[in-house]
Amino acid sequence: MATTEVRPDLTPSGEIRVMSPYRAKWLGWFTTTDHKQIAKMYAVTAFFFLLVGGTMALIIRTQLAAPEQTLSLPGLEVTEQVYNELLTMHATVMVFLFLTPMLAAFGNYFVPLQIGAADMAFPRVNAFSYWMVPMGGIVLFLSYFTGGPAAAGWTSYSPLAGPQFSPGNGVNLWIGALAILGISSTLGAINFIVTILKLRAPGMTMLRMPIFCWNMLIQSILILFSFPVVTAGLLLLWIDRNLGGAFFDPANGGNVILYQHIFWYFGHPEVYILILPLMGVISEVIPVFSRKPLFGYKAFVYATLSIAALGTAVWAHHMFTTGAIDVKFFAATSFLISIPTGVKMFNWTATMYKGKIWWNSSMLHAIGFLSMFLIGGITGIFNATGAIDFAIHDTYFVVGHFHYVLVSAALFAMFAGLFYWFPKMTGRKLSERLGIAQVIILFIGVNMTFFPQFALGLQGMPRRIQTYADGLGWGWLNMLSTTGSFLVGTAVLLFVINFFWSRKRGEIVGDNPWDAYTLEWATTSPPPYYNFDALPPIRTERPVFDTNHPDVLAEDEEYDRRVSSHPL
Amino acid sequence: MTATTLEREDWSLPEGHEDEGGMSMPVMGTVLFIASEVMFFATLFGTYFALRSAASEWPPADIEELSIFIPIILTAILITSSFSMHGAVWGVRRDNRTVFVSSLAITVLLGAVFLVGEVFDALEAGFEISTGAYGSIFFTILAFHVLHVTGGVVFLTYLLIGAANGRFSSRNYQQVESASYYWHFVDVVWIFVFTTLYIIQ
Ligand SMILES: [Cu+2]
Repeated sequence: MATTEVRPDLTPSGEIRVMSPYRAKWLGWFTTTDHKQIAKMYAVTAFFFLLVGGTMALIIRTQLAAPEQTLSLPGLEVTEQVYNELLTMHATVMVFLFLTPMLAAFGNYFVPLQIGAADMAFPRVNAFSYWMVPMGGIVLFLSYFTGGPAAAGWTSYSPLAGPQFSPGNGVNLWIGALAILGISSTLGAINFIVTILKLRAPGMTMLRMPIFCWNMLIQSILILFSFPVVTAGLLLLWIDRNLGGAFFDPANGGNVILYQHIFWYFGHPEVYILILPLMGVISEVIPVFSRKPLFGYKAFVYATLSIAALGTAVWAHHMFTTGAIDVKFFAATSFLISIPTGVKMFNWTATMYKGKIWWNSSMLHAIGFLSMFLIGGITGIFNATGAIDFAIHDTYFVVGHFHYVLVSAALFAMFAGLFYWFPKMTGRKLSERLGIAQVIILFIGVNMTFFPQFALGLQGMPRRIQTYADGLGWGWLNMLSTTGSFLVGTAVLLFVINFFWSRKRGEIVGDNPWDAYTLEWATTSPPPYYNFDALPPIRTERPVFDTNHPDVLAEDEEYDRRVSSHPL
Repeated sequence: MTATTLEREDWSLPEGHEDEGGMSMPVMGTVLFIASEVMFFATLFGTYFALRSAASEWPPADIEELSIFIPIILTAILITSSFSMHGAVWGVRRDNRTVFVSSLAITVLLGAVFLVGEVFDALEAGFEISTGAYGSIFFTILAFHVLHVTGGVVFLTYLLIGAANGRFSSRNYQQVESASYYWHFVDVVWIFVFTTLYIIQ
């Protein structure tokens, strides 16, 4: 029987196509609107900037390793000016060019797959959002060729970032880059919201949606309401710098505190924008590797919603020491956030409790996230306590706190997600041996880097200083911190090696190696460009698990029936 | 009672989505985009009132009170254009091409007239963006409103060209509907601009 049927979904040799057949492969990367390809481009771009920002961090740490030194590297002397440039660029790169695009990568790849859709709602807008990220990076780094980059810190407070104290082009390009990246994120957020609200497969009600999608939805809403605010604020700063505006110039009727309000109205929700999707990743990984459903699904959703809602009313806890705000109000709202956050911690640990835990690299990274996030969260309560904050504000205690959340916890969650989903994206597993080595080195590394910073902060070491006097006793703690930072670098490099090795030689594992729960595991690994040829019926938030374990579903339904028919 | 069991044979590629009906995707995208724009303008107006409440004199003594004559006319023009925009959507929904195309043309015309008037009036203000905080926020709010009206007029012109060439019908008018929401939004922002910068100055 001669087959003349045209199968655009198969290659001539009969394999499932991952890319659209209608375009040449190399051209495909530039013209694609496929959410999975765009996600990969997001991830590669983000990882590149992780290495850039990480190198900057290592230079900063080396400079601080010993007191009273000015580090001299080939072609780079870390003077005070250079140090300020490095810390500004390090923060900007890590927040806007590494972590934000990395989350967009996770979201782009897995939101459409988890809700059983063929693509995002607006594929071309999606491609546009991606291409604005390298554009923003180029604009930011152009400043190195036009008289030096911004050096006013990632907050760029006025008047420090104003025309008087930051002349030159650095801050202008920084504003331009952030505006571009802000618009990219805003368009991305609109895309995620519409995708999640409109493109869910039949049967997937909002409360059967994977927690990761819930967290992407809530993150997107936060982006939508906070990025335009900072974009407006930065444009005001730009007008001050270039058109003679006086928004933040008290001599002409301006107000410097206003800038801080605008910045932190964005800046605090930004923390949740960065961490909510990662909490979503963790909420996928922990149930699968504990072989139990997530404990308290609905409580988790409501906790996320209330974190987002409260998160918009706490921004001024970054401004306690200005004396211009109501410390009691903002301390109280900040404390309140620890309640829903605690609910989440409880849900995750309760999910693991009595589970058959599968001790692989993904799960170990997830447990790393839990412990790091706990330390980051608890030290946050210190910062939110007005009286304590006056003592530790702008010290290394604060540096330690936010690095515990945004580096330690975030890296662990990101790696948990990468180890979990790599088989779906490539059809192969990452090496477990390298993975376990990585998790151990990373755990020692981040704690060695950031825990001493709490002690340094309590001893009064201010942040954003290029060096410090001998005889203050800060030397050995700084040396410890620097040593740790190189361990973190080693762990990240181990992952890079693992990635390149496993991409070619990793164990081939099939469509659903983890016996996982959600719809992305219902298609092939890697998925074809149209995502699904068939979907399981969706009765719960674990449709793939229900198909593979009909006995469990039957038991659950029997239990539900008995409970609901019982008169009490 | 038999419990449910699911087999691989039960898998299929179902048609449609869980949430059918309601807002179409392009319109929902537009509404969300407008929400982000609301936050943008809210920041500008928040800045206005923050600066104003901290000032000892507002507007500063050396700045003359602005005439509200032209802004009132502009307000009338823009409100009229919102009605004609509504007429365009009404027309396209009923496949009434005469009403649709002519209403759209009137909207574009009114938008262009408004734009010229807004820019002209701003240039006559007698102070500049660098004239202290008052001048800075005054011109910043106006400039961003002008930018948004310009964007609106450009997009409406694009739609008008399409409409004149027979595009859009009662089965295909999402772009027109999206444009109308955006245009009403720009109109509402102008009401705030007018009230804040001219009436309560
Ligand atoms: Cu905060």
